[in-house]
Amino acid sequence: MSGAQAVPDLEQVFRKYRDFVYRTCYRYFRDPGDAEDLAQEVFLKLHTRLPAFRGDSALTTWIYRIAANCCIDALRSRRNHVAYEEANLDDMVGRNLAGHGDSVLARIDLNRILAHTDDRTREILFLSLAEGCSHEEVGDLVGMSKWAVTKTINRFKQKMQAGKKAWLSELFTREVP
Amino acid sequence: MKLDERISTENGNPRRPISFLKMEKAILGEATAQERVQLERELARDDGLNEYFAEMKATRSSRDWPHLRRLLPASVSREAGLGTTLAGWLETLLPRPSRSVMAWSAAFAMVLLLVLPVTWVRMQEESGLRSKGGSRPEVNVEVGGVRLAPGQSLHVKNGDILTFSYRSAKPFYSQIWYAEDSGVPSHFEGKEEASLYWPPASSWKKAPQRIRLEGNWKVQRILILASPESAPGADVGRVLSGQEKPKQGSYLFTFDLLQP
Repeated sequence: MSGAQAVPDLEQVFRKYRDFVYRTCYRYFRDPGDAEDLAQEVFLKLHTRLPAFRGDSALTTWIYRIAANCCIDALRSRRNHVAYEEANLDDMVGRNLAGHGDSVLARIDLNRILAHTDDRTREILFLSLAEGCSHEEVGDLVGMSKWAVTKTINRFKQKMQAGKKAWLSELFTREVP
Repeated sequence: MKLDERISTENGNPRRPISFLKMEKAILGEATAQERVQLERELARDDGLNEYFAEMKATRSSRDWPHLRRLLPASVSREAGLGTTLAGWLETLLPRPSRSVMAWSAAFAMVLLLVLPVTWVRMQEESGLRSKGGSRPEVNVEVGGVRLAPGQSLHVKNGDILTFSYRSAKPFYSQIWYAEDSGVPSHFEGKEEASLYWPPASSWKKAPQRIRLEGNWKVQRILILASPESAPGADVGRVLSGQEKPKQGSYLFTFDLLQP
């Protein structure tokens, strides 16, 4: 094992990142019980994946990505049942777009993106729109170049603007005052 | 701003809000200098963000996540191949306690180790299992720094102060009397009804009573009747003069003080 990156101790990871993971989950669900349940899932995933952590990225961003994906998966599986999460996602998007006064993106319903995009695009859109990450940050998180991230979002934007598919119109669900 | 404009100008837009990740890194103390500067700038500019960031820092899990704590050690032991051993199975079945619990348990055990022997000795003493004296009360008198056991005598002089010490597993009442030159016993203070309450003491304890020796006599016998209940002075007087037997559980201690 000489030369290999030391695998972080799960107990230490848990102690250091427990609130960090909890907060990430709490942002999506705004319910302490749900957030804690989900955070436990995140740590169980970390437990199985930690041995594979090679140290290519910072541990924090690696954990953050796993946590964010767990939240997105949970949103997908619950999207037909839980209405308040939709409102919460709106808040997250609203916060991240507040400085832009963007009337287009502010009307995007992330909850619908959950159903109509592929995994990679979904992750990128969520990290960018919900988590407020810059393209560079998204690239670091998902292991893509900034350029590739921008391209993915552009492709999504082109589809959306062209309105070639019926579902795209559903992405615009609210009127902005 | 249109969507494509936002996307194309995304990186150069000075109004780009700071990401949750950067705020989290700042909370964890992992933000770079540049990220810290950016965060400070945004916080200074945006009161709402300031409030949000404060709320974010204060958001913590209130639960101890027992399920996770239970699962993790068990999984680790299985991975380590211990699941096939007795220790491994035990560890799988019984969750390993957290380090704080183990630390507290160790501290508690240390306290028990220190306290138990002392308590045991005290219990032995207070249950009357002392090697000397048994469960009955013990009383000594002291004059001029010399301690006198029951039945002993000591030369004293006028003006000496007589004090008392005792030990007893149970509280008792004492009556302190004297008899000068084989005369009739009298109560020291003339208050024959006064029984003195002496609380239990596992080691020798000084009683609060002090008596100054006066008068002309050759032998003064100090009589102390210890009884489990307060007794009227008349009853005690009869006991001390030999007219009645002491009640069960009562003990008489005598000390002789001599004057030249």
